[in-house]
Amino acid sequence: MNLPCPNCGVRPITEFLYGELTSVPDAITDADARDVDRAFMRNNPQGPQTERWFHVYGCRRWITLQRDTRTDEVL
Amino acid sequence: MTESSQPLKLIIDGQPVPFVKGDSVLVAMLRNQHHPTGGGCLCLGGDCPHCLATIDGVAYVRTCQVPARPGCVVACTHHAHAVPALPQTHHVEPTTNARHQHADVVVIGQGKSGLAAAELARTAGQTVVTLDAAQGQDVIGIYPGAQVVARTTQGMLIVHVRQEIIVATGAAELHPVALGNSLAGLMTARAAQQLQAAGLSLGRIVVINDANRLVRFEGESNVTAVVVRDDQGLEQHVGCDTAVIDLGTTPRNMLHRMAAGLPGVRVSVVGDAATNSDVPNCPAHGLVCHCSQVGVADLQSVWDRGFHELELVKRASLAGTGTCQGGVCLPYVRSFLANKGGTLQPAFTARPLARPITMGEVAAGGHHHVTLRTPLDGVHRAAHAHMERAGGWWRPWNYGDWQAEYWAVREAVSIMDVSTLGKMLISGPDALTLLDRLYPTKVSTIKTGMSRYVLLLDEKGYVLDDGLISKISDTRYTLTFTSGGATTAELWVRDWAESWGLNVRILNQTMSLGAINVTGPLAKELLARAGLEKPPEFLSHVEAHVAGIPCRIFRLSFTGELSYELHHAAVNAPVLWRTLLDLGKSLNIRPHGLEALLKLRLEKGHIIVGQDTDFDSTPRRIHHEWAVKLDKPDFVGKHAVLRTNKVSLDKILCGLSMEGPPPIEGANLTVDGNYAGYVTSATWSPILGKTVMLAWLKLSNDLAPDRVMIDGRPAQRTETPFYDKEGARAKA
Amino acid sequence: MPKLDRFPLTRIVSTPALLDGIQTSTTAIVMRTAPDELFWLGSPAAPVINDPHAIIEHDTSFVGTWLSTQAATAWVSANCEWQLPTTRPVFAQGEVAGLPVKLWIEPRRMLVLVQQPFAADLGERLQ
Ligand SMILES: [Zn+2]
Repeated sequence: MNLPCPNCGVRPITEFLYGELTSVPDAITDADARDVDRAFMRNNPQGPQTERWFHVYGCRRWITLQRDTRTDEVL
Repeated sequence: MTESSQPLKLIIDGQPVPFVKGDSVLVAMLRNQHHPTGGGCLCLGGDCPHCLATIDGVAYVRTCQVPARPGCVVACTHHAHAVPALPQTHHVEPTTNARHQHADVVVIGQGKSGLAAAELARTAGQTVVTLDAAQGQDVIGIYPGAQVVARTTQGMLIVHVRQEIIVATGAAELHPVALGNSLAGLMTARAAQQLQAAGLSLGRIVVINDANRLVRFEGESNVTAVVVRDDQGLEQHVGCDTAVIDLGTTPRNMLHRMAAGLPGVRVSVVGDAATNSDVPNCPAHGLVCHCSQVGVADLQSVWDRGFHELELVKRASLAGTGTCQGGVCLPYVRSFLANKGGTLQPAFTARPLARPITMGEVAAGGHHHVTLRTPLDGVHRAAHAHMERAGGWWRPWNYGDWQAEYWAVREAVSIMDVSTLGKMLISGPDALTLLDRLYPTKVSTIKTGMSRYVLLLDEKGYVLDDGLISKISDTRYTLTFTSGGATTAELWVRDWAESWGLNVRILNQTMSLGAINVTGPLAKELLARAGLEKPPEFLSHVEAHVAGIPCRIFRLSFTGELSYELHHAAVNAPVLWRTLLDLGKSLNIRPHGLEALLKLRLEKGHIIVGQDTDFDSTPRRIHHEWAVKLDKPDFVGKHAVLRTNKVSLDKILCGLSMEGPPPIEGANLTVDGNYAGYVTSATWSPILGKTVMLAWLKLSNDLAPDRVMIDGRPAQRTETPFYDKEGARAKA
Repeated sequence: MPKLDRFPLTRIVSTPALLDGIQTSTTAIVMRTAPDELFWLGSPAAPVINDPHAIIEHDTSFVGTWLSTQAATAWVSANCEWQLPTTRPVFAQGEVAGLPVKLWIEPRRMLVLVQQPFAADLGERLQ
């Protein structure tokens, strides 16, 4: 699987480190509970997600991309 | 002797046998009355498991796909269902080559439709790679990427496909499922044609072209008769030496099923591989899957136990899980289930590997993960240091005498290679803002020229790393991190700087700079000899030359003794190291390794993040509340620290001491026979004459027990530091 | 095993806009490793940049070797999973032979650089 690095070009996923998703489910409206969810929960959502990947073998910068977690398609 | 006058020979089960130029290993074997697996319908098309043998030490090779070579050694003592013996030698095979190629389109199979598909793609201006098993390019897997991996005569070929994978692998011939289908002498129609063309005599032939009429094959090991049903329904024995199976074909679409659905690439199937042929009639008796030895009765048993989905039947019966990956049995298993359940289920999922491959082929193109080397690596090795891997780096464990190294630090002067430390430079108008939000300490109170020991917390309020912040100017700071945490720290700092949109410039200097720690009561004297007149005061730093080499000199202490950390351009590390050793000779200098350092720091009770801390170590649990300023407006982890501070303390990292030798790190603590925690670090302290430890200790009713048992020996809770409690030596 | 040489260079970290404005040289090798970072290798020396906050550091930790096009092609084909850019001269970086490498590719040769901690492994993996 490849990821497009805007600085370096298309590279195998093994060149990157994954940045965890910090998105919080919209259903949580209580500010305190949102805090807890953000810090402690891993929600493993399905579908297109905005993700951060760190290009450790190349530019050593964070990149932001959209990936569908069901198909691995980079959008 | 000319080539033509010397008969070509290969070795089958220890016997040299002649073969004819152009023979595959299988044809050569059949020419000499050998059936590689003892029986089963041969296809000569690479689809079935019946011609598997061990060739030149490689097991599970399809002999029909390998050209016979003079002297090649074939062992066919095993049957398809037997496990070949593992080689008894321990020799390591040379690494198989790997090659990478990039193309818009890959066409697998170069029959009529494959050739046409490749031509069409080329005409459209696409770059095309073609792979054909008949030309020795055997596709063994298709992976996301997309990558098509093939075994070739020159090693493994990995084709990176940008647009489309076209599967044109044709069709395989159906095998017979009936009693006696494991006998030798059975072959498909295409196989029979090939053997006849190769000049083999097949003897008396019976052609089976109607599965409905086939009752069984008879014979001891070789077929001697085929029993068929005639028009009146009566069984007829037909004597033969060869039964030719001509029951039609089934699409060879495994690679299509493997590739379908991979992201970022189109997958299509053309030619005979794309046909939607009818499945054969449901068999009544006989072996269905030869690889796993699954018969019709076994499928019935699986069905009766409630497995009705094809994917489940595959897993429950193991039909289709062998070396041919369903090449022979899949049409029959589908037919069996359609007959039982009324609907024809789609073929099961195909996943790599399509064929057995060797460990050398698995490893082709792979590389070991690198263990990093400091700029002093060669110097340590030349000094015969015992090197160990630690935190991702090669580090000197000792230079032969850890006790001498330890005492050099405590009583004289010593140097250590600490180039592995994470090092980072931050510059910009928002540098202070970034660090003040990132660290739980009040970075704004660090004065220019000063340094401070700091914890780095994650958003959960857990300790992520520790290190030093040093202020160079109002807009410029250097940071250090632990050796193992340097990459995580860079990710962390860059992520937050970007998320907050701050105006800073960041340079990771971990690998650019060497670092040497000069430590011991005579450290100042050594540096004076190296020309440093004004060494920095405790927790301050200066830029100055040491032995003529420009350095940034930090003053902190991990060993507990007077220490100076010299950061310098990587290229200068060996010269600086050697000069310091030369200048320190009369001071009885010697370098120390990690073994001595781990004792020195533990005597001081200094934690190592990652060894003494756990993933859930809060500043309170490790007794570092002093490093966290909760009256700061905000910092990463503050909310979580406030939250966890409301919960009663359940465990602490504390110091323990005991008589006698140290327990192993990880040893359990018990109180009244109950589990009470575990040791994270333990060492015999030469200067204290006892064992000192750090350990996680469970509290009961907010109280920590004073005495615990470790491996049946008592240990006493002890305030840290164990040695030089006032820290007078480091601040000297 | 090819001999590895040290390639001292200057690393400049500044704003992308200021780095975009740097006049490249026909003699020096200029590698844009990231939007906010640039490597300057060779003479003339790197130009002065109008950014008081810029980080400009002389870095002595990069080592490497020049490979002929033929050697480079063979090495890349055996060890690189991604496709090199086709323009010349061109800078590229990524994983080759399991190492984080920086490549400077000219019509007739290619410079392979790694930081010193990877040097011994580069030497072995260039064989
Ligand atoms: Zn990149």
